[in-house]
Amino acid sequence: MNELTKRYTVIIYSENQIGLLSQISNIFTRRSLSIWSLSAGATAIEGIHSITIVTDGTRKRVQEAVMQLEKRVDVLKAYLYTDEEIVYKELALYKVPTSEVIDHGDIEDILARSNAKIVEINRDFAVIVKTGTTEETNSLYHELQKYGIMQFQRSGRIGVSRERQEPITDFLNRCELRRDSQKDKQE
Amino acid sequence: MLRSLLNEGVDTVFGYPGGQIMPVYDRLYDYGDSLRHILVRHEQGAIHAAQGYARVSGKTGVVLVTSGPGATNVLTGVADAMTDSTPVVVICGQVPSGALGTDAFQEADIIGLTGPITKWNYQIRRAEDVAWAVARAFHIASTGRPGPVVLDFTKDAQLGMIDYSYSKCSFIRSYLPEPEADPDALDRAAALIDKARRPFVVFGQGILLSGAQSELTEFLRKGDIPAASTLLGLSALPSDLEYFCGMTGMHGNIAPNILTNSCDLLIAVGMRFDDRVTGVVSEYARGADVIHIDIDPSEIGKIIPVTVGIAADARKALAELCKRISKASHTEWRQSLLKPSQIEREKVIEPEIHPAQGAIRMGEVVDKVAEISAHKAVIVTDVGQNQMVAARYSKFCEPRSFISSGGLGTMGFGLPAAIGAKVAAPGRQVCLFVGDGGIQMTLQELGTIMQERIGVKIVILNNNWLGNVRQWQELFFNGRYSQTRMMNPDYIAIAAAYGIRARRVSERQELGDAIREMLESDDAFVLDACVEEAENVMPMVPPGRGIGHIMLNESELYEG
Repeated sequence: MNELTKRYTVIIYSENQIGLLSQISNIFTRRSLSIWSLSAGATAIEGIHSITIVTDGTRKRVQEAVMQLEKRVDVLKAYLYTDEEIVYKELALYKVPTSEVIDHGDIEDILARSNAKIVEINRDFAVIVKTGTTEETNSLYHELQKYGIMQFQRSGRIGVSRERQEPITDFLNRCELRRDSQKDKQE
Repeated sequence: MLRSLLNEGVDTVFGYPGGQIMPVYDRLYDYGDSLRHILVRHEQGAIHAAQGYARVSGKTGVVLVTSGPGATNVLTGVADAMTDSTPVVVICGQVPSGALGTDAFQEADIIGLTGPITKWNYQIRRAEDVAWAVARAFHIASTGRPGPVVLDFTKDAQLGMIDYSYSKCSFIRSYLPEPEADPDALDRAAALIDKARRPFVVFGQGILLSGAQSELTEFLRKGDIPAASTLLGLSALPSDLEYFCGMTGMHGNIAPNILTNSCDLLIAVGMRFDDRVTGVVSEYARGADVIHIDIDPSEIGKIIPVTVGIAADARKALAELCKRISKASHTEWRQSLLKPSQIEREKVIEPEIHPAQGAIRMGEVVDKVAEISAHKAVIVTDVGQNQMVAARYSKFCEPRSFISSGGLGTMGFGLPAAIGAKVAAPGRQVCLFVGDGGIQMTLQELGTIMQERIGVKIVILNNNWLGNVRQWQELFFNGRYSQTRMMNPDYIAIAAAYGIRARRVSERQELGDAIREMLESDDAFVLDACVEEAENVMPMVPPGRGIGHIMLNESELYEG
């Protein structure tokens, strides 16, 4: 089973340290693991950043990378998920000519079916936004191709685990306990 | 910065000045009484010296260099310290923060360059951050699995004036240096040990780093278990300890390699299953359950699948295990190593250390040094045949007595590392074995030895070849000796130019006398030992084979 290549999502929580992102990507490239998507940003907890990476490989290989990630001093914790273990989405923006939208007359139908919406429209173009999986945003791309897509952008994946609580909270609580016991030792 | 170093208990710094670190060197001028600065001849020498210092003393080695080329010159040693878990802190100058990223004179992206080869790195851009960064650097470098830290120190931060206060760092929330052994895993491991009929311990540098020598000895006694060392684990147990059966790996002793494949339980402590230890992984310890104890959780299961993994400090884990196991006796199993040891002694060791005729052999030199120094010297090696022969034929009675570049295999490591080792242990005999190839990679450090009057004993095992590559060319590349023949300078004349005493020896009957002269000297000494040119280090597990496939010599395989 270990040898099966699968898609994995790695969610990394870290301190906000300059240069850490390049060290994290190094850990993947050094093990010839492709980074299919990457998104990074601040979490709701002050001072803590999270990075979500989608990669594929055997579980052993990806697990090894996760161990190496956690070894980096400024990484708090890294979690490894299969697609089934998380709820995940990405965001796609499609820019299409307004004239084509009007001419075809089926835009409302498409938007309703694909759960997308128009976020800006002017004389020249309309911008449609959709959240979903890569397959879903791809499928809308194919459907809109008849309009002539002027520009297309897609974000990296973000995801949350199917557990009740954000797993990092637990980890941080344990860190605080460690900090206290360290203090006790010194006093 | 200097006060922070003093606060961390630093008394020795290896370094080389330059433009972007001049403010620090300017202050150093006033700190001569409390900080000894050793001026090397090349920054690579500074880092290897700091490594040698750290490995002998157990303290963190400190390096001070300038920006750009000063910093890039230490990269090899930083990578070496990373693979061999050596605590060093490198402080390098950097251009003023306003000039970062402009390709300023002597600017290099040191944070980017050292990211993958440091345990931690940090760019200090404000004077306010100096104390914090230094405290963190020493905490990270020296705790858990030790490693190198690089502090990239911009010139404006060097010049900034602040109210200084220092507090040591003992906690970083994102860093858990020492995981606690899982009691359940310890119980399962103890049950496996009690059940085993042919248990075998392979230990690495983790024993030395955690100071677990006596815990390991107690554990071996109680369990009646034979043990072998990796290259970097050498000197953790005295060579004459009855449970110690030598070194494993490519040029290791025959018995431990055979035992690895015939044991039913392999207990690996403070080691990481380097490919030079395991040979082909799929054939390694096939019949055995594996217990792996290492402080770095990412090492467990990385190479060899484990039955029980224990992520913990080796000393604490061994003490806990020792409490849990029953007293056992494995006389018959332990006696099974006598036969392979006997064969190795007859076929390999005796002809190497007591040859009847021909040129001096490398093992002979090492053996004589061991004998005349009464096994008390710190042995430093370079990389190659000199290293393998020094590892095989040296004897030890004190820990932290074998200093060598293991994982990275850095030629040129030896001479500067020996300088650092001698600085760390001025009262001990420090003896370097180095080839005629490796010594020329960092030969300039003879200048450091001259200026600082460092009494290292340098034995050049001179065969006029890049011997290890020559050996591989002979055995695996049909004797096509591509670029391995060396035309050497006159090392006696070179030593004389640096004011270092030297002697050349090429006759067997003079060898003992020459070694005695070298060891009796208080000052540095170069012994140019002209040895057999075409010698091969044996036994040898050829690359790409399992460790049971052991060559006794060019034409004979070991048959157990």
